[in-house]
Amino acid sequence: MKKKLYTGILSGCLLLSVMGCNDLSEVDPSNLSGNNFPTPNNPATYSLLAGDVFSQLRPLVKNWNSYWELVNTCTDEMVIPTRAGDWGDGNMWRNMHLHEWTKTQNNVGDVWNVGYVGIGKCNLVLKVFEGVSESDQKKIIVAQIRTIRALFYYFMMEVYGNIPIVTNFDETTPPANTARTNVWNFLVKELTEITPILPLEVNANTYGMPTQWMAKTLLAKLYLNAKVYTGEEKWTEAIAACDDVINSSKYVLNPDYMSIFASGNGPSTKEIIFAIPMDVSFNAAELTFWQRVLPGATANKFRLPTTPWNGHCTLPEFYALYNDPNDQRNAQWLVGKQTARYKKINGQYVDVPEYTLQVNGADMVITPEIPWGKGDAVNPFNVGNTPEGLNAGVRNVKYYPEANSINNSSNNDFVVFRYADILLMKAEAEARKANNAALALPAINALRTVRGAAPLATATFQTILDERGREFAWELWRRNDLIRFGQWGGKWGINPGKPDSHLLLFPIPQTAINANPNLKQNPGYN
Amino acid sequence: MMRNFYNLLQKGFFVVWLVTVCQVAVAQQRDITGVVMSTEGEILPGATVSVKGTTIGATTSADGKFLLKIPADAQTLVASYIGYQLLEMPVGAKTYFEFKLEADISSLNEVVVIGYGEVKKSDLTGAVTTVSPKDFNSGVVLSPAQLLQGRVAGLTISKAGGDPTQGSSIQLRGPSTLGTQTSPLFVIDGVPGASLDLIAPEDIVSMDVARDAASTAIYGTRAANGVIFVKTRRGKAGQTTINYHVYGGLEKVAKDYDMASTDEVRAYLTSKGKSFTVADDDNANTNWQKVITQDSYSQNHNLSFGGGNENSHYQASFSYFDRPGVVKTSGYNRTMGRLALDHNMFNNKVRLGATISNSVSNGTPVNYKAFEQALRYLPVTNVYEADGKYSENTARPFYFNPLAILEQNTETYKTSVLLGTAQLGVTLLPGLTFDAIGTVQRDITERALYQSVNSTYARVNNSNFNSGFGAQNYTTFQNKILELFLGYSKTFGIHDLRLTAGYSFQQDNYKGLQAVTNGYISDDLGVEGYLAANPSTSFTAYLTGNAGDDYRNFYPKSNSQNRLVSYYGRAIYTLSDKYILQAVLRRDGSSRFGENNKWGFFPAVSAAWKLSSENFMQDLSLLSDLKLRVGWGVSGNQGLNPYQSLVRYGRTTGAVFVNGAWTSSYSQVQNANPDLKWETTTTLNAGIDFSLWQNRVTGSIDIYNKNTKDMLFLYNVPSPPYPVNTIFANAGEMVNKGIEVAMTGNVINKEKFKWSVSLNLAHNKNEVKSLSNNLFSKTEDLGLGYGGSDPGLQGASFQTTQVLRPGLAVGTFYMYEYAGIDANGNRLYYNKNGEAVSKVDNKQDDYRILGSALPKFTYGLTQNFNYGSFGLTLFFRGVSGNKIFNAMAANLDRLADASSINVSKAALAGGYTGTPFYSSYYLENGSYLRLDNVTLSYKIPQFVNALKNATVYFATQNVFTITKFSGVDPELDYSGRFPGIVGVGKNGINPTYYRTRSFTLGLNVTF
Repeated sequence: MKKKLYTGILSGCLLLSVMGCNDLSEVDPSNLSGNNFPTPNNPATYSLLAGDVFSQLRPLVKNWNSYWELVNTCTDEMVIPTRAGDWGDGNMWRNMHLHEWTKTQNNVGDVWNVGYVGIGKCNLVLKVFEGVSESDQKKIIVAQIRTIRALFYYFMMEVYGNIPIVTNFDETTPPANTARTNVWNFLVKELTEITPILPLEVNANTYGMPTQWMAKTLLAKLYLNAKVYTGEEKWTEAIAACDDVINSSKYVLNPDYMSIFASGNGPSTKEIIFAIPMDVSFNAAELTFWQRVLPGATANKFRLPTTPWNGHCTLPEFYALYNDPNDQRNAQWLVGKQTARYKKINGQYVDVPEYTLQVNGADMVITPEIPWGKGDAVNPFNVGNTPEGLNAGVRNVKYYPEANSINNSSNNDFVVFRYADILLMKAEAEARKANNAALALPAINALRTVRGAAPLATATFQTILDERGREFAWELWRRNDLIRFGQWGGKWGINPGKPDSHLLLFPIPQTAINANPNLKQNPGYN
Repeated sequence: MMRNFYNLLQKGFFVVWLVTVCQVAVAQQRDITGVVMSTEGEILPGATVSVKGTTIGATTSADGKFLLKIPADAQTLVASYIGYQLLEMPVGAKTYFEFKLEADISSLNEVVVIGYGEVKKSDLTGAVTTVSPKDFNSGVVLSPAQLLQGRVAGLTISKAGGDPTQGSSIQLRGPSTLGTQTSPLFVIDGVPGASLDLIAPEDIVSMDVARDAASTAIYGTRAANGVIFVKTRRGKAGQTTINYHVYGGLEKVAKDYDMASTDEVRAYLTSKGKSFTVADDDNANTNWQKVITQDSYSQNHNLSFGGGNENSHYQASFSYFDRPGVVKTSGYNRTMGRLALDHNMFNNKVRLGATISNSVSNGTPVNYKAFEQALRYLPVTNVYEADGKYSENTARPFYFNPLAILEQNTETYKTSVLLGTAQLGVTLLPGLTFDAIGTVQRDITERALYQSVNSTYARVNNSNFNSGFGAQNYTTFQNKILELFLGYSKTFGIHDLRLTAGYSFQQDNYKGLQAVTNGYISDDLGVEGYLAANPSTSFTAYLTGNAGDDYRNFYPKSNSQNRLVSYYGRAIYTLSDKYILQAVLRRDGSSRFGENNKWGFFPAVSAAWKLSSENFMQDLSLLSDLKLRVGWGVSGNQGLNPYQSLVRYGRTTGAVFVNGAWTSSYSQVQNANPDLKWETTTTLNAGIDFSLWQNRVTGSIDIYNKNTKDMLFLYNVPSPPYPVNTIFANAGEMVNKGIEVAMTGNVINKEKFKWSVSLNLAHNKNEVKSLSNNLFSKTEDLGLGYGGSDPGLQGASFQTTQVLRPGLAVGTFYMYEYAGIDANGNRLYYNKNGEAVSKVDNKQDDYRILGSALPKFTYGLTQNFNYGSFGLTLFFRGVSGNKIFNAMAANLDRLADASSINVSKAALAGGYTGTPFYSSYYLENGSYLRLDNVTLSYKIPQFVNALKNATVYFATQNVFTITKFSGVDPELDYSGRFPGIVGVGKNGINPTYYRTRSFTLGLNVTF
């Protein structure tokens, strides 16, 4: 009897003792979470968070669905034809070329995400920095992060126009669109306010980060295109912004055009105003330029670690701009019969006598002409996978492939703003202000001389556009330039020309509208 | 709630105390003896004989005899044995009793596990199906789940292909989640969630599949996919029983793809003025599918023995299973040991139990990309170069020697699982019991992946230059469970009441580490040579990957802990043995849920009416049993990983160049979601159980409406305001409605010849109702890219095959509809205006809804024939009304590329030279009927006395399949957001591993 009683008491105690284990709170043992990061008594944790803002710039030019591809494949300087089964990609590249992009197309959504994730990160870091005590250093880093945010907003406004603006991290209402004019006003005000706080020095410490000159260049872009963005001309302001950069005497044109972009470009490249640094060994490299562009067999020519995918090329009409045989800028194009001095044997490239590269049993001869429709009776965008189709289209090697690199990413820093742009922007603004294209001729010829091309005798506005085309091929500005020069919707490749004005903007991606009911679609895309 | 619970406990113990005090005076007793046997004279050891209405009883010994002390006032004795009808006998003045039990064909008296207790099958109020060993599928059987395949209406168990390292996917009554947690909860001997790897099929006594929420709600937040109760063999009093089961199996590839031969491709190329390139042309005719496959010989041994005396029983078993795969380098083997002890004390008032089991399994999975390459690689090339190296053509992207992929990319794993369970049962007073079950399970998994320094595949995919790649990881998982519950049952007059209340605590801990290196200088040491590598091993965060990828198994859980705490109660009230009412309430708290939703309630009520017990039914001789059931209940699915509700920061990939130096940076990678909670499934079920002509035909019919809301989903949210543009949240709603029919008929039941037929048939209709809640809205999900509905067809990126959209079923195909060919042989497709056009723009406007990947019907049919000592079982199963998208067929339909990748015979016959893309041209009927198992058995006569039973059998699995599907096998996994797609090994959707046909010879002896 007593035994039973004790048993009962014991089981009761057992029952009571385990009831204490009802704690259901969670602490992630291996990851930083909101309750332990950033740590107020460890300032280093704040700068770790700030650095993230800069890393978000790389996806703008990343491997896949980048801003770089969005603004270039819709122009005459870049096309990614379907080559039999390759590069069909749901007709995305065809849509870009024909100006038939859709609001559900992947790159339209991805670019939006890259931009707005970047803006969100800037807002988060600015919010976190509110908790840090005031200092000069804090003022500078806050101004730099606001400049990066302005750059993201600029790119978003450039392609989507009427975009939502959020500057306060704690704002939780999904934001509505802001008219493009007001986005422009916001950016001009923001940049004017923060520029004086930014660093004046141009050196290794400020490389890849906003300086006063980087902000002025962005302002110059805003003023030069003000007519497009707001309907109002701002030529005087554009000239003034460019003059500030010129008068700083921090920058010069690089005597060697190709070295601006080559692997090893960096703080010592005096033409670069703002670049996105890349370094494969720090896993900081989303630029897979040659992997996407070059024909497969050229791996042997450049000693590449992987077989390139044979994608992007230029249109023959754009390549025709390169009409001076002495122009240094011709070196950025890969054309004609391709030979190699290396061969991969047992996984190592070894030197061999020069031989001609082969494509499906034929010599590799890259041609400017593109045999539209050869690969598919019903799809003119398909050039097929005969040697003719595979070799079609001149390739750009501006970001020149580095031999024996670790992987298919590049060490070349991606150049966003450079001094040649300042010089040509100023020349164009002066010409437009006076409505006299000839005023741009001295600046154009000065640039041409450095690039090894013969000076021109006369200049029209077309001359300015063509020179910008030659100078900035496959950078970030062809779409911007064509729109400003009124040549958007022109006829190139198999695009018959599409004058519809709504095509001046991309649609707001459907995924963004699904996620945010306060957003309105751009006109013409509903 | 808790306070009430304490009160209940306190009262309980007070009562215990009172009763024990009052029971001091022991009544007068006398001894009786007897024997229990079947009506056919077979001795029944282990049968129970008890005094009716008391707990006084005994079990029979090996010779079927029993000895029992009974009170002088005892009225009636009851003898029972599983599979036999109860037999009562008046006590009178007799001292010797001979019970002859009649076999119970209706099996209505079988007990069914219902969680924290058992009830007689006839007293069930919910939809529960019992499967016992005589129904199990025989042949090469890897897991207990396979034993149930096709046996339970509404339970779809499918296994895509014959990979020996992969388990089956299980789905109950259609998909009720869009997440990955689709499998039912297995409760093994009262331990929820114990590892199935620990159970040899031979050790299973029964599996009870609870299908409706009324039956499963007692397991709360883990029960939405159903609960399967597994009961294993325990020792019985009497002479030691020894059982040995052995089989050997031969497995062959059942079907492979019909690929073009060298001559056929060459003839085609010549006709088009093309040729193979010199680099490829070895003038060979290699059948790459034969090169990567083999015949496989598997074996299984299971030795078990058990016995004991009246109070102490033991059961031990040991088993070994070895199964090499039909794809070279793949394989699996497992060794298990298990010991179960039971001891009864104080006249059965205290019951102690202990189980310890251990299993060690070794597997070598293969990279599924080898399957695609075996089809694409040109037959004109030899397997090896003249110098003995694997042939490779590095100039061609996505093109690798398939045998080299298998032999130069080796993955191994070794998992050992140790489980210890201690059980205590105490009868506190008549009718009141207390049970405690404590369990500790510990899994240790070691994995290794090694890619050869010579692997072209590894070099191209992982950018490691002739330095190999090695990854090793080590994960431990520890699971602690404590279950405490009280049971009370009392009959007063025509009222019968049964109460259960309890507390449950569970804690899981994961911990793991991984090290990788790619600096191997040679293959001599393999993955273990990491210290000789340059650089030597570095620790990394886990690699991530998806099934079938290079690192498919390299995504163990990171260090984490989660807890589940529960209180539950159940009441069953029976009136006049005719009307049964059951109510269940469970309260579950889980650490995985968000701050605002840690606890959830899961109620259920159900009722049954035994119509056949009513007087007005007694005259119907046709009907031997009839019961109506109806139930409603709520259950949950907590299929989410820990820490998903917290703000998390992660290191940004790649360094940043800040202030002149490369430095690391961190960013927020997860939004906070304090409202995160379980998925809620509400089921309404109505059923009828019947038995006709003295149990010659038995069956049941169930209809259900299963509504799941708060589905866990990764939503896109605007950023800003959210720092991260996705959030894991609850939203949306999905409904499954269906009907299930199960029937068994003993067509012929003569002494010499028996023929029985069992049929189960289920129909389910799934519909997504919504993908939104008041915070997040999603109109549809096309699942582009990785893990989506794009199977990764080259040149077709960002096209889709399926759509997830309110109003449609999960797995609805959404693509261009094929409209025949035009005069020039060009394929035509319908555009949005209904015109058949050859040029399509890949615009969603043109896509059409083209059927679903989910079967309308699933069924199983078993025929058992017995003639004397011979038995023959034919088991058919199948599905119908579903479609399969065969992206692999599209991938092999590239005649334009025939000089660089091989094509199918179908492609040559079709003559299409365009680029394949996703259209209904490749959408196929997924229905199939399979003769899944034929087993012929012979019962060897008892040639020595000690032999209790000896059966030899020959089984063939996957005898034939009738289907219109052109791929290797129509049986696919029907779970996930985008089911029913045969991919090409990219975007996470894989081709199927070859299904096998197996021939097994087995022997089962019992002494």
